[in-house]
Amino acid sequence: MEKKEIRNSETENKIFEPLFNIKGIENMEVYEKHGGYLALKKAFKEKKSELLSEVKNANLRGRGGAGFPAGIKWGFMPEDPNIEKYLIVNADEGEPGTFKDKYIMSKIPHLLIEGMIITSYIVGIKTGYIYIRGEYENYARILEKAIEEAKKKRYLGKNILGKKHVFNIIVHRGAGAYICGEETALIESLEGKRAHPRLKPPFPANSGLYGKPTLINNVETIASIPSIINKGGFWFASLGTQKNGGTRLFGISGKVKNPGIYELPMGTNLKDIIYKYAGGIKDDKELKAVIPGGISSPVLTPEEIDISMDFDSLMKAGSMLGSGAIMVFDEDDSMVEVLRIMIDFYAHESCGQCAPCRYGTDVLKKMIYSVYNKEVNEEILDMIEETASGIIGKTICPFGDAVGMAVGTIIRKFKKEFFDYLRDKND
Amino acid sequence: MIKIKINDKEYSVKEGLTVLQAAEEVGIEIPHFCAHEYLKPAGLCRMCLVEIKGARKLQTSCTTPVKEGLEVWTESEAVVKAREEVLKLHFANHPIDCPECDQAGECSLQEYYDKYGFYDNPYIIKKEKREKDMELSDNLILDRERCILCLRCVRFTEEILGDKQLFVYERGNKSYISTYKGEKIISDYSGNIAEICPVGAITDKSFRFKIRSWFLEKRETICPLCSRGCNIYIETPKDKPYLDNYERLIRVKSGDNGEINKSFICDTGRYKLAEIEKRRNYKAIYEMQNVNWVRIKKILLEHIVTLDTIILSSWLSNEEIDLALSVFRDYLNIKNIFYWGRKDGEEDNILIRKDKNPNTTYLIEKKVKNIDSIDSRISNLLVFGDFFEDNPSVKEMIGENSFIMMISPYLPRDIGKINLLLPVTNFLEKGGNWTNYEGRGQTTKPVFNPKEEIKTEFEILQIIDSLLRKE
Repeated sequence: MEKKEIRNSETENKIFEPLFNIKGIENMEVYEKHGGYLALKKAFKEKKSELLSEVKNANLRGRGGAGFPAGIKWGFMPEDPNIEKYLIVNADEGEPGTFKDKYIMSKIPHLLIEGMIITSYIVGIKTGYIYIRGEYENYARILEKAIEEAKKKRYLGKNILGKKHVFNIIVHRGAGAYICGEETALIESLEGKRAHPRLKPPFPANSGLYGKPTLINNVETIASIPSIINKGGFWFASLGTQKNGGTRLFGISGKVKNPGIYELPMGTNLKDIIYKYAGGIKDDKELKAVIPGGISSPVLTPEEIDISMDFDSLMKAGSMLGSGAIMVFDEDDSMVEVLRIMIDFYAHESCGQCAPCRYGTDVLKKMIYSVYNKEVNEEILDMIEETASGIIGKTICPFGDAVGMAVGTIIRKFKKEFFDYLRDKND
Repeated sequence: MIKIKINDKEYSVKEGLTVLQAAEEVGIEIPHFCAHEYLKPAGLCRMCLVEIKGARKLQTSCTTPVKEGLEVWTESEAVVKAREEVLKLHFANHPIDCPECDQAGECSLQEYYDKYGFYDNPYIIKKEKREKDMELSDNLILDRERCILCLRCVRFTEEILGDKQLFVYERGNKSYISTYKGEKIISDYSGNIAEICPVGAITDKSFRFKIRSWFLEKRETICPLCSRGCNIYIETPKDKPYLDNYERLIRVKSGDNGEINKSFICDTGRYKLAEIEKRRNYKAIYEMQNVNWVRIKKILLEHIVTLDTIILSSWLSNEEIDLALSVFRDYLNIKNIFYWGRKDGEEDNILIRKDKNPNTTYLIEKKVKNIDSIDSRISNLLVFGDFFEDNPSVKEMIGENSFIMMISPYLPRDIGKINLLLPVTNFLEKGGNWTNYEGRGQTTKPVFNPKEEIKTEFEILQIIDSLLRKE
């Protein structure tokens, strides 16, 4: 099954896809045979400032969902080598619909490790953590094995490649909370506390793990670094659109003919992704809705899918590129059911720290269930929409905004379906 | 001082404050639950959202520090709407059982409910049933339906006590406060947990179902039970001077003094202060007979000049000590002047001091010796306070045919050896200046009127003084 999920599209100018298909590349030997750790060796010969400007030139934007430019984020880290700093790779991958990072970690763990070592070298970090979701036990083991291999090769540890640089990686398993994907909650969890997002400022670049400056990036972001070092920042930038460099791993699920992971340039049209690459809607049914970047990104209607898949275009359309997890719904899918499943997830995963999200998800869940069970009339739909938008902008972390936008948009865009559902009492 | 604008009006405020504190200082109220003057900002309840110039979103005023030139709006359209939305959500599951809640009258939730007026639950949902009477400790009851998870209690045990006895369990709306394994909280400061709870979630057993808070009146004083001198409020029924069983001290609450006790007090101060109201004496007794003041003056005149030892009490105020010393040390030239106080006890590094008396520092400052240094036999003695029960050894140093005068608010258990006993007001019935362990002076006013016509120590010392000077 797994092999099928990785699709071959145009193979030129790809970062991950050529590697995905090489047998045994999770092993050091094979990885090195295919050019592995060359970027590391190249990077160690160059000046840190030049490497950083390569990353800046790449227009690499955070692949976790927020799309913050990586080069700028790295620039926030203090340069003083005497200050203790940490690198954290966010491998919590909890956003429903998302399954890209697990491919990187399971197929090409060394790409992530190489990216981490280069990052640590540029920013001046001695310790790196991979915070991996607890459910990814198999992938955590693959990573640990790869780390052992890298240690043997002296890519990790002291005096890496004869340089003074020291770097070690620790794999930390999460315990299953979605909120741990939020960077400050992740830090709290890593410190052994309840995963409650922190107040910002201070941002992690100033005060993160154990109060020290901390760089947190997504797996895909860090795994993109070796290619930037190998082929240059401008090359990477040229793959995408003006402000969105590189390619993106799009994970398509739902009612398409060929679901799976597709590596495509940033800015690929969503319509093309669905119809050209994923083969169109399953059984040639009618498309009803598309969630473009994990469930927290507001839903798009069929009329809205002629859109460039980059951070800015989707933002303009009132949605988000998020984690690049595209979920496709066809005419058979009930949006009432979608909303019910969605709110179940949010109510279950709200950390409960701040009031609007804690109460809001609960109230929404109860009201949406009353719709689902047809116990109420249409008036409640406005109340749900109002309550959802009432959460937006009032919470400590973006979770509240995500709930508010995702829930509100479904009701707003599919109101007629909800009306029909409530009117049809016999159904 | 820096300049900021609140609601388009310019104010000068202290640097280092949060917007919430700065607004409060200039008299602008921003509603809040989780923010507490002496706990770190948490930003949990989201009630204190305000509009700040240049900020994309509304900001919690409890976590935003003031800066030169900051512009804040606390009542703009966006703020009022946000406040309404957040408050509505706070009521979504709240039982609104004010009629039977002991916090009623001093509950933030109730206050805002009233002020911002949401009389109907806007959500068409069933409220959840939760545990209503969990024993958090021997004196605290937790009602989980009323809890709004502001975490003041959790943060208090973590930040002030440092022992983390309370935690949040579960997640999302299932979150609840509890102790580890449901064990009871053991702390010398547990009463504060009920006091800092902004709603009726944690209530104090000693106050539950006793009296409605609006029948009470707050009177400010300090706690005399140790040498810290924590600022406290005594709460007493407003209209009737006493409850039916003659109880006038209904509740002790902490006052607010950032330099002494922040806004916390220990459980001894909170629950044991009422003890000083017990075993009171209102009658003057001379040789086991009641006497009036005409007679007392004659007795005083006869015996004061023969006194060889004076034992002052560390429950005397600065003024009383000064006057006593001027009469006995300066005028009568008595050498043997000592002081006594309640025995030393436990101390900690939070509030509780070893010295269990309010004014020892001042006596030491005035070079009065402790009773431990009594080395000669005593024949004629004047002592302040119910002395002998705590100091039986001194009793043995009193010679035959001696004359003992005692000035005390309490009736001694053994009155046998006391020739003259004069009743006086207790700590709460007199005012004065007090010097705490670090030399800080504080002034109190009488909290209560004495039940019967009795004098203060100061008045008695004044009588003695004038008797002597007339002679």
